[in-house]
Amino acid sequence: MKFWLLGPAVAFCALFVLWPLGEVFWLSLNKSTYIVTEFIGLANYARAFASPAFLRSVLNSLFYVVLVTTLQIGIALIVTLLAMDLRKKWHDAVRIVFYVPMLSAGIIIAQVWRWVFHFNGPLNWMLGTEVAWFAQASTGIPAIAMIVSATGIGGAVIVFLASILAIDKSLFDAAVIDGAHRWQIKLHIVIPMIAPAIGAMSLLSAIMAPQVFETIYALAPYEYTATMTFRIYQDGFQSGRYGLAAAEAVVLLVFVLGLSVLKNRIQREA
Amino acid sequence: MRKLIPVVFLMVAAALFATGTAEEPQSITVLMDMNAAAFSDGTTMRTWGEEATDLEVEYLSLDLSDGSTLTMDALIAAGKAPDVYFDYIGRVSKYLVPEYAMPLQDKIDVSAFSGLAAFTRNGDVLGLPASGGAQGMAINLEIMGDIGYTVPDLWTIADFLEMADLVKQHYGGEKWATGMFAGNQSGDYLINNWFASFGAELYGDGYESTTIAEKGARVHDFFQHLVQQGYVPPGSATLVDDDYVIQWAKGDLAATAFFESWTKPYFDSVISQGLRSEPFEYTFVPFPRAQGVENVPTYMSYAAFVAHKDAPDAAADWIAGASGVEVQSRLLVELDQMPSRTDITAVNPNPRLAEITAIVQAGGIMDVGLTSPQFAAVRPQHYPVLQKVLNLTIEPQKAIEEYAARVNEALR
Repeated sequence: MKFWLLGPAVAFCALFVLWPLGEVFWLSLNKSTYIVTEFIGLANYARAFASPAFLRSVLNSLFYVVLVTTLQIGIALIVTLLAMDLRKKWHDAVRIVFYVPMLSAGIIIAQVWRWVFHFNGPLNWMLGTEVAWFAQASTGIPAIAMIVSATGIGGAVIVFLASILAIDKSLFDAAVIDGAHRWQIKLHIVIPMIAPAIGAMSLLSAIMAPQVFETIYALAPYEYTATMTFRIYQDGFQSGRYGLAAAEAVVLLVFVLGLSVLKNRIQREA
Repeated sequence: MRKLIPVVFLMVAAALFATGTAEEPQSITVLMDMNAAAFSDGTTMRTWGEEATDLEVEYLSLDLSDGSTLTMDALIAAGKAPDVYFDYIGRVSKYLVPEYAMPLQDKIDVSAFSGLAAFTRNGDVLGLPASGGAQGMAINLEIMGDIGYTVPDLWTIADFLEMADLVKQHYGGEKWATGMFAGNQSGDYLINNWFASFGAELYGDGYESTTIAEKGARVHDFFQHLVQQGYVPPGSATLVDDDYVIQWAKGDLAATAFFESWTKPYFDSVISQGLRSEPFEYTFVPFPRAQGVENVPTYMSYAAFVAHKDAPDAAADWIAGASGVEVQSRLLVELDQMPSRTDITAVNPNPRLAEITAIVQAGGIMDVGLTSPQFAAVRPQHYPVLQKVLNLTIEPQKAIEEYAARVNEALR
């Protein structure tokens, strides 16, 4: 009887996760315009891996994984380590301030950043430069990674702050008695104690990075800045090659699964 | 209470009887662009549909934010293909296949339409062309007056570059010789006109593979020269069509590709935004030609109709009216469109249309495979390459080879 209680969850998962996944996999084995569908086996996969644009998107995704994860977790950690010294009432303020951007629509936030990075915008004005930031990969990818990171640190700040507040205070007292400075405590006690949370948030960040879409769509919808997700959109919806796009989506799934396995292995060995 | 029961019974019976005998209006769905009302045929079509037919038409909204066939494909994938799809031929052509489209020749008198061969598959007419427009190179006479230049008849690339240098010297980067954008796929008309200037053709015989690599490198070389000399606006690699049309209507571009039907709405737009106080004078001339090029065909774009094969006959009736003499005559006069029917007697007195007609008569229309079902897949292949060209990060020859390879891959 108790297994029947799992029924709704299993049915939901089957309907909204497994069935669509199966459909995507089946579509990836076909050449389809939704008008005519023809089974072509693994040809879409061969085509994807022969496509310089798709391979570029895989490489870009790796760049985004490294940049977004480093920036997002790094900034969130610094913010949290600074905020932990504040009085309790200020903790809520920090949480709200950093979480608000996550509640806003990405496409709207991107419009604000468009103005910041504009040719005649404040960033170029402050730096005294005339850079078209999104006109090439070398500046476009870091700019997008920075925007995505800045927008998404709120979740990590909340988790890190919660983890820090859960640490037994006697550890801090003992460290102070032993003569540890404030930053020595943070470096040698706080960070190791919240390492599992850092690992978990890093994994979530790394999984999210190759799926960045709306920021690219709004600011730099180009091949040289495209993530795998954006490339899937270009091949599927812009060029109408849905079978190819489905094959690329399956590759993205494997890519993300690979990241998860890699992270788990690193964490286990650590 | 008991007395009420027969009364209620009679009322229900009467209502059922009335419903059974009244003739229900036929209902169809039509997918077309209703947003760009000032330029598109949509408003006229809708007005006509409401005035002239007793059909119940549900108009579906067409999302053109990225210029793709996304809306149609989503509807088809959901099993809700519209009865009629009316849009730019470059998107409609994807659906001109027997597996999708309703043969129209037995339902509509198609004898008056020109260019039907491109809509015919295995003897069936699967779609119909609506009105459209050809492009010319729009010359800003205000700028020409400022720089003291008169465009010669049958001008050449050398003439164009002479004019470009005068613009650069006079305005110092405030206005430019011509427009350019590669931020999305919508600039294909602009780019294809330049390919025609250099005698480079996208297709030779049929649409199996492209011939663009034969002469196209010169075009990319020319584009890089425009960028290096500052003859085009900075950051052209990431500009989009919305930037381009506003630059034109503001009067910032001396000579560039434009449709006459676009001029009024964009002038209205910049005037309402306070960017100009009134329109500038302009004229249309052919695109300049490179040395050795005899003929420069121009780009023509038009809308087209396709009905779903399972749609009711009312869909064909709607198309018959919307593509008929009355509607196309109105489009010719009110929206400066060129009709696709040979039996139109209405005349548009606009002298700019006469200039466009002369350009078409002299050079013809270029063939970029608009009616090929692969057009929608081929169209997005150039702008990623063009971005590299305009950013000066690729050699012209390598760029054209990459473009050709991408087109051939899309045609597979």
